[in-house]
Amino acid sequence: MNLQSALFQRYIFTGASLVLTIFLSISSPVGSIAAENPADAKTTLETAVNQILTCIKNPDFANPSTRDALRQQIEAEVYKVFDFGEFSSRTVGPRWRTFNASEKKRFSDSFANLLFNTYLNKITGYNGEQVTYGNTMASPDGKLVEVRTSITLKNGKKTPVYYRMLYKDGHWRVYDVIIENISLVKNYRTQFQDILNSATPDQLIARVEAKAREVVAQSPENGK
Amino acid sequence: MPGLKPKREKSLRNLQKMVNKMLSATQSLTKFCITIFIGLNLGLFFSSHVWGAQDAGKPGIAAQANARALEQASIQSKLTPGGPLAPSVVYTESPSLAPGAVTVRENNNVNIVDNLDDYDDNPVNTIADPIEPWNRFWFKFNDIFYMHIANPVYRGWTYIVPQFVQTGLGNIFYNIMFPKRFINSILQFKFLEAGVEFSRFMMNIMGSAGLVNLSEDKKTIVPVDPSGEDFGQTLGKWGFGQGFYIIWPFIGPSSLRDTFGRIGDCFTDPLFYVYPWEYSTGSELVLRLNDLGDVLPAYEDLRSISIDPYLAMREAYASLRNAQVNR
Repeated sequence: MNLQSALFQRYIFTGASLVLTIFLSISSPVGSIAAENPADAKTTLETAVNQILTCIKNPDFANPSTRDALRQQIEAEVYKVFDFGEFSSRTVGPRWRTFNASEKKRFSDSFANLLFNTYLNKITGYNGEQVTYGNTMASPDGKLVEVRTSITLKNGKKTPVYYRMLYKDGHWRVYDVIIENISLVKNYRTQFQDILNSATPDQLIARVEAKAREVVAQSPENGK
Repeated sequence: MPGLKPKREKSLRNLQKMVNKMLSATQSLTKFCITIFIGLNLGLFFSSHVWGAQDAGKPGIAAQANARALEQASIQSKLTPGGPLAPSVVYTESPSLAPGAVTVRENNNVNIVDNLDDYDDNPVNTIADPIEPWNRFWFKFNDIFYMHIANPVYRGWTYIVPQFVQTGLGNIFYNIMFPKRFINSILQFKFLEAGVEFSRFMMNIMGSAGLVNLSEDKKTIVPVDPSGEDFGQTLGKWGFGQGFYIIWPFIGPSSLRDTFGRIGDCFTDPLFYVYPWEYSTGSELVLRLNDLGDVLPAYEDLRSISIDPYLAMREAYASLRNAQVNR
């Protein structure tokens, strides 16, 4: 009798868990599309970073004749996960509203170019450093997220790198990177504020473009 | 000399004085060179033993890590034919473990904080800079010094001196600076941190005479940043603000508070008490040169990516120091 009831319980339990599994497997993809889940930001970031590192580690990347395809793949991945428009508006700050549409576009493009090439130079020197993913911080409304990661360098030193992300058009996208507690956006913002005090937006864009060209020229591919 | 004329006697005395001066100068120089020589040799001798052993162990670890990565990749490809998943998602179902033997759940905790959208505060100057033109001059001076003097000298140093000696000297420097970190931890009432510093120091000294950083990968009761505490941070903890931004020649960015901090740090630097000054300056210079490996690449990075390196450096310095004080 006891055995029977135990068996019965087990059946019920298995059945219930089966139903639950099926239900979950159907509902979960729908759920992730319908609402932003701060926990997804980490997965998005981690997937993107791994994709990029896979491209860098690919032996074809070291070969100049086959590099371009991988470079384009990295570029697509970086532009998918980094929102350079958000970067631009935040770095320029309140003065962003005084930029006209074409200035905004040109500034965004040149600043994106600068950041992308800086990033590419940096990760081309990737040497198996370990990236660990820590806690996620979210704003109370769940729309802004900070994913905390830590990079362990060859000499054992750990560098904290935090990615701030926001939910936009169905994706989590990065709008600021904070390295060793230094916000990239705020650091550029001080520089741009100072320049805009005495220069026009056009002159600022010209300086950003010049810097981007300099960074491209310095890249390891072009023989530093 | 009784038989000599007074004039001649005087000139002889002058000559004697001169010779004495020259002798003492050469003595100073010899002492200086000897310090550097002994430092080098000690480093070479000790670290060749200890580091030789460590290096031999390294390929094994690397191979293991590679094997693990391969294994994970194969699991991943089996589990997700559609595309790659983030690795932290694939924790269970390792083929080497019995099912259910270990359950590791991903840490998906999301903490709620309120400071993520702090970009609207305007302007974002983190430190006052009333003497900007003066600072900009010294920034340019230091820039030339770092890029055209310190950098080539450091490159020469890394070319001549073997890697294990550099590491050994770096570790000696880290251990010599122990009193600074220890005393400042206590001054900031961080007693557990002070304990960690003390045990790290004892472990390194007892285990390797300070040549190997044995305590590096040991887990501690409280997290202690390897960069440690200094007197500038102590003053900050006591409530002193940064004051204003100052760039010192050769030393680099600082603030009014951190200038006093640096003066305070002299008293907890054992090399400051070494007499005569030739030994103390010589060893300090060698150790600081050896330590440039951390600073120069960071400086070059900052210089290469910023539109106005002076402002980038100022903001970076201020935010970094604020973070260090508040940690």
